[in-house]
Amino acid sequence: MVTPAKQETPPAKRNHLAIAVLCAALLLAVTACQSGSSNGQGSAGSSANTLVVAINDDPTSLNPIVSSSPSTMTVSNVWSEGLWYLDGNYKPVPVLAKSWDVANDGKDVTIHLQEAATWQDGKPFTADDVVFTLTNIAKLSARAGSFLAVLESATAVDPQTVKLSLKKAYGPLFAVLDQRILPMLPKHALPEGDVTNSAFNQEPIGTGPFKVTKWNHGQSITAEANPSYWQGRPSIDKVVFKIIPDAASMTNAMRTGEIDVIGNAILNGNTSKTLKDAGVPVSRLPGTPAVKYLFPNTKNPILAKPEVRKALFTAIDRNAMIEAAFEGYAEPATGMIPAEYAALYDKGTDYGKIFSHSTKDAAKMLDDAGYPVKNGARFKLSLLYSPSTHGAESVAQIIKANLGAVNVTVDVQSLDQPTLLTKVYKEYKFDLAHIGYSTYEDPNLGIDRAYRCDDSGQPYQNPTGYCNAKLDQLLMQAAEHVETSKRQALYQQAQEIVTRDLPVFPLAMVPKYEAYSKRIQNVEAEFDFFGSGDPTWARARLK
Amino acid sequence: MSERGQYLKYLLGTARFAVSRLLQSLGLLLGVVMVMFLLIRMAPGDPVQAMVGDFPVPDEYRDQVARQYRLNDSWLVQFMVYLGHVARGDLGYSYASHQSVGGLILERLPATLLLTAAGLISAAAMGIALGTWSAVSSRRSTRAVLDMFVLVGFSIPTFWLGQMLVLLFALRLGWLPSGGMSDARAESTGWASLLAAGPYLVLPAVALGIRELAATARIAKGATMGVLSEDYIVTARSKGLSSAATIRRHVIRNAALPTIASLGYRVGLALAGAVTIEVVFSWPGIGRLLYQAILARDNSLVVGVILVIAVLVIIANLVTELLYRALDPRIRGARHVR
Amino acid sequence: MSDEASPLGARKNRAELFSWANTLRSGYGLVGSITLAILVLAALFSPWLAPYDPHAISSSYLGPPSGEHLLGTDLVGHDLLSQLLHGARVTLLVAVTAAVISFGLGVLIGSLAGYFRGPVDAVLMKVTEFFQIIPSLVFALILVAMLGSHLWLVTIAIGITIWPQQARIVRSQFLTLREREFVQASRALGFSDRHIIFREIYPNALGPVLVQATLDIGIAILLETALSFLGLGDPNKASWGQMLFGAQEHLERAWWIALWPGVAIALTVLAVNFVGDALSEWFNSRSDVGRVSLQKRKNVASPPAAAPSRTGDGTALLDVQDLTVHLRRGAKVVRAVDRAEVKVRPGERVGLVGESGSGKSMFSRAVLQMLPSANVETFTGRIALDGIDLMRLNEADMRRVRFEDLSIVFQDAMTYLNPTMRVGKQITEAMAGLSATDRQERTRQILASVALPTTTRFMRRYPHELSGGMRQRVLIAMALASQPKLLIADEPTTALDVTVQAQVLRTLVAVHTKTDMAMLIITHDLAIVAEVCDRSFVMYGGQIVEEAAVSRLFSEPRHPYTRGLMASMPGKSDYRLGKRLTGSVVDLTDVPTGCRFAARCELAHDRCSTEPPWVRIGDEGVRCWLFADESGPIGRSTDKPADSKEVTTS
Repeated sequence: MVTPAKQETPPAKRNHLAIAVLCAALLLAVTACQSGSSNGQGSAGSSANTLVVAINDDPTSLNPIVSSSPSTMTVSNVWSEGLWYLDGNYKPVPVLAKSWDVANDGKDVTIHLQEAATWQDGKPFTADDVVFTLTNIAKLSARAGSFLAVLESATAVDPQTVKLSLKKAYGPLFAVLDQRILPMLPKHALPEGDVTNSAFNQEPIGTGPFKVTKWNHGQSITAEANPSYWQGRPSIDKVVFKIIPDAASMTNAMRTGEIDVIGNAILNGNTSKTLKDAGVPVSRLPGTPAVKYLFPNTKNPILAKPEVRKALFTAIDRNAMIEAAFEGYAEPATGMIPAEYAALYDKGTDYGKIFSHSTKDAAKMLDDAGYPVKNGARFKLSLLYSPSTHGAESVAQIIKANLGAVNVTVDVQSLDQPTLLTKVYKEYKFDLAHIGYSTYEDPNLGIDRAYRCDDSGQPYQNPTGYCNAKLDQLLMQAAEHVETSKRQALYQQAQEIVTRDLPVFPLAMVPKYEAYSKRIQNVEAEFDFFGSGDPTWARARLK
Repeated sequence: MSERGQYLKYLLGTARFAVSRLLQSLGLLLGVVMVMFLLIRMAPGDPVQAMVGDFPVPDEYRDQVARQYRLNDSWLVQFMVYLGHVARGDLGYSYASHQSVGGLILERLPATLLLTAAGLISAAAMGIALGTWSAVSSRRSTRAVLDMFVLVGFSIPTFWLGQMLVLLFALRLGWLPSGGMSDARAESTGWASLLAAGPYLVLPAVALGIRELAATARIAKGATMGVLSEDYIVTARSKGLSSAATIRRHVIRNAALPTIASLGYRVGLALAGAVTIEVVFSWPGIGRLLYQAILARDNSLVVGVILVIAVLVIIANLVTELLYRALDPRIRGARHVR
Repeated sequence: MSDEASPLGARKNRAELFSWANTLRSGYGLVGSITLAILVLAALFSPWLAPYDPHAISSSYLGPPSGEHLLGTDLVGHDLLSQLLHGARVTLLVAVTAAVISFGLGVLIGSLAGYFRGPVDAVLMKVTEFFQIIPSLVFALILVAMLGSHLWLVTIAIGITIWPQQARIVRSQFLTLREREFVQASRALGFSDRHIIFREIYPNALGPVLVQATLDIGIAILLETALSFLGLGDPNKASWGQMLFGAQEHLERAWWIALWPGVAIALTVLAVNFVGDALSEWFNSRSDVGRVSLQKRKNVASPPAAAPSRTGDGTALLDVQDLTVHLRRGAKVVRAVDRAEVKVRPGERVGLVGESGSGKSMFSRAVLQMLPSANVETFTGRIALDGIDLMRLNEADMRRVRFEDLSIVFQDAMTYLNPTMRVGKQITEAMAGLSATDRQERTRQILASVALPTTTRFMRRYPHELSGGMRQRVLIAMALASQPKLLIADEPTTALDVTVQAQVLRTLVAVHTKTDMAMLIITHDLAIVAEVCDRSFVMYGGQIVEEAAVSRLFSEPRHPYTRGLMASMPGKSDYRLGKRLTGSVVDLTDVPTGCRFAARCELAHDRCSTEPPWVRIGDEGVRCWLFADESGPIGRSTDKPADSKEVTTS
């Protein structure tokens, strides 16, 4: 049973209020005595087997299909499971699905489910739940859209078997049905209609090793071991997700031992470096990186010229950016597809060589493109970004300095995320915009969207106004194939067009890093608590 | 009239005063809501996107949300709907958090109250002591040092002081935690949780308190000097009372009055200071909530927090005025004069 | 206490220390101005002073202070020294502009409210109230977040959130100044409102408004800093606040990023506050607000140690000799009491008469050793009470004297009573060494003796709950509580209605006859002296000008000033001895040589330009050349025996 935090907190709250005033004056004295013990090893007794994980904001909802914020995703890793997870080589490994058959050119998929799996409230996990998740819930998932577009039907053949009929073959099938995008949700605990405001989103029930028991808004979320977990009770008793919005506080807490894990969604170059310097293990995860893009607005006649775009890209010192803004915890983009998509990656293309940084070359290219220096400047561009994106502040300053060196004036505008998205994707009121994209397990989900022609006004698509029918055609075909060799050929052709026109500037690829305390045992070298659906949570032990 | 009758009359008068004050404040609050509402509607930014994160919003989802929260209605309709929510006390619905604004704020409010109360009350107590000391001190050097301290306290940015405290006491010396409000591993409720919050409270309360300390010291000093130049102090001295007795019996109470009167106003400033302090120290209060709400364009939450701050300031002012009435017999006993 | 008795050397050291601290204090303004001047210069010349372009990046990321980058670099390799210098420009520009906006809005709205008053005032004050309940940082935060973080928007947002304080100041200046005489006078003379506002009100309101404008600069800097810290600053302009943004993340690895701009901000705001404080002090000193220090009663050394500790003839209870008090008032010296000689015998009722400003109140303060010590320039002479030289007592002993032997009744009972203390307590407080019940009993006796109710309910009242006459009687009761040997009544009835005056005076006399204490009644009203006193001194310009038995004083006033006073008494205008007094009291900061009354004296002649001698005539005396002649070498026949005359030229 979930203990609703709301019912439990009022007495404590009233206590707070009542004694706050009285205690305030005494606190200095009280804390002087306490401060010695507060530092570091604050754990004792029953709390020793508690794992504390940092998240950086209070989730809006715990349902990862309704909200895809990093904190929601992080928490969902402990209580929910998907049909399978993708290993380091993008090969599906069974979880709730025992096995599967793909037939009819990839259009018919039969999934056999685990018999032993049960929900945390004791009810059995059945094919009905899978069908319910794919038909009733998935439509709310922003990332399942392309899958739903090809899904003809999902039917329960028997309680342990689900049959999917697709309109055409779908490349990213395994990526979409992964825990990260479509975790399985219980039919019996959710309403038929609108689930956006269901109580389930506050007190979710999954099949995972831990069950959410308490949500202390603004402070922490607690999940306790599920004793009847179908793969066996986990070793850790309790996982506490502590909400620490400020990166510096988070690294400090990590160092003092207050928290055990900082997940990949949060860790950035600075925090990674700080932690590593302090002797905290930081490991790079196998998943795909986030791409830090700089979008030029081709509705601006200057930026409509590919020569100008290439000149600007050449002027930007991406290596210095990685050193400074990402403190070495990022890699330069070699092309459209990150190297992590091993099978699809085009080894022949390297932006680092094609557009190697040179202020002199860039200046000449701009002269040649018809924009000589007049009165000390060629032209002026606005650069929009949101400070909530890691490193964006520094990236913007570096671009300002780099383009300044070729006499292009940059007016930097720091906006809150919603305003940024509106100005960039809806109003096209920008010249340059710096935005980071997650890539997910398949380029069709994470990469293509930045290149496809798009005038829908939807955020996180291609805001540049660049449209190339041939490119769109190639990307669509790539999604319709399951065999990687065919897909790679299509992506290679797409890369050629992209290299020629350079509609988008990929500035850096930021891999996933994770920091964890040395207390955690029994996990592989490729330790990954997050984003894989791998039941690492069930196996991990604490020293 | 009997003593009890007079006391009853005093209580009645106080109640009437409090009610009329609150009624006056209602108009002001309506103004606050209106101005904030208009301001926020002027801002760009798509609240629905803020809910979803790093991915396009499906149209179906967007429509549903827009319908549910009347995002497509006119401003006036939205404003009226909002006023209805305010009247009901839930302050509207935060579509970014899927929670009632009132609930969200209530969850965070105790932390902010704890922080501001700790900062403000200890600062006020020390400020009054320092200010009085400075005013009665015969040594000009003492006065100069205290004045200097007050001016420095006024000049340091609150959050920067917080950062420096973190740097020194949390990172370098490791005496106190650098942020947050509790140790995640510790399970405690009620009194115990408050006690456990102690070490976490010290640095933010000090950072928040220094400016308030300086301000109170300044006011207290002015008030004390004012009282010292009053004729009845001459009377007290002519009675042969010692300096200490004079200060204790005649100066402190009279000087405390204007100082207390100023505290209501300080509450607002302390709450504003709490915004940056809560960001520096990851303190889970309404200040940080406001900051996050602004960045996420969670408009109803922004208005809600500001409304709550306004109410807190009004309550603080009322409380100080009532305190003032209780401490100053001239106002309390207005029945005899007027 | 001990330093009161310490040798002169120690005193001197302390005096030096004071003057050092004083210089420092007055130096605040100078230090602040110089710092600001340096800042402005640095800001103006930053392009030449800064070693690098503030936006240029180097390959030194998070570099600590070094020879190449004196203050270190930030995450992307900006040179912090260059940013700091250019930041001064941005920060000062924002702050000053915002302060100017606030100034404009504040003066405009404050003037409108103060000028129109009534509903306009009410509405505008509601608006300022609005700003008071929404803290300015929060309001500016919302404005900038919603409208954008361009530098000019940030500046305007700050300006329009901080003006209400200024408006309140301007309004209150309007409201107080428009009641003042000179504004009333201008109005009566038919000057236009515009003239009054711009010629009379604004110049007078300038002080506080200017001080607030200065302080606004500091407030604006702090606001800009906070906004930038929250990520709402303009990233194109490296203001100090902008430098602090992002420093949080690198606090531990690169403390220098946070340190320099923070120090720069703190120093600048401090300098601004110094200047504001200095300005405020300067304006205040012009309006001359004195200060009373509780601790010290004398700043100046006692008279020569050779003076005997028991002084005067044995018969006098109070024996004041050669008492001189000079006070500082701004740059000027006020000669408040000048070589005063006063004797009061036990049980005697003595008057001290003079117009206001004649120095008589300062005389009583001096006797009580309660001069405003901060302003005392010179305080010499001998004051003996019952044979004890009060000038040589330390503070504790003096307190005992005040507690037991000496009491004073002041003029304005309302202000001399503590408004927040019950009257019973204020009376018992003055009693020494009695048990609680005895005190109660004694308090009742005293209350009865001054014809006040003796009920507990009365004793539990606060001063404001009593009538004026009752309050004065409470004050008298307080003075009697310690059963003093000498009661000094300083204008005890001036603030009262005529009928109440008579009652209070009767009370005083009645009390006196019941005890054997002596009374020194200080007043400007000869009628009171006539009614109550046995003997009287007349004081003018800080000097005792006449001493006489009351009967004699009224039948044959000697000094022309005394005669003038008599003539000025209501119903005595036909008095043969002279005309009513004209002109005003001599300016004690600018005392003429010679007779101080000469300027107003009908009988003045050339000798009056030299200081007149104290002419002793029997038990009496007068300070006037007219009487010096009686015993002078030229001589004049008088009816007085020659040996009773004695001329002292001091």
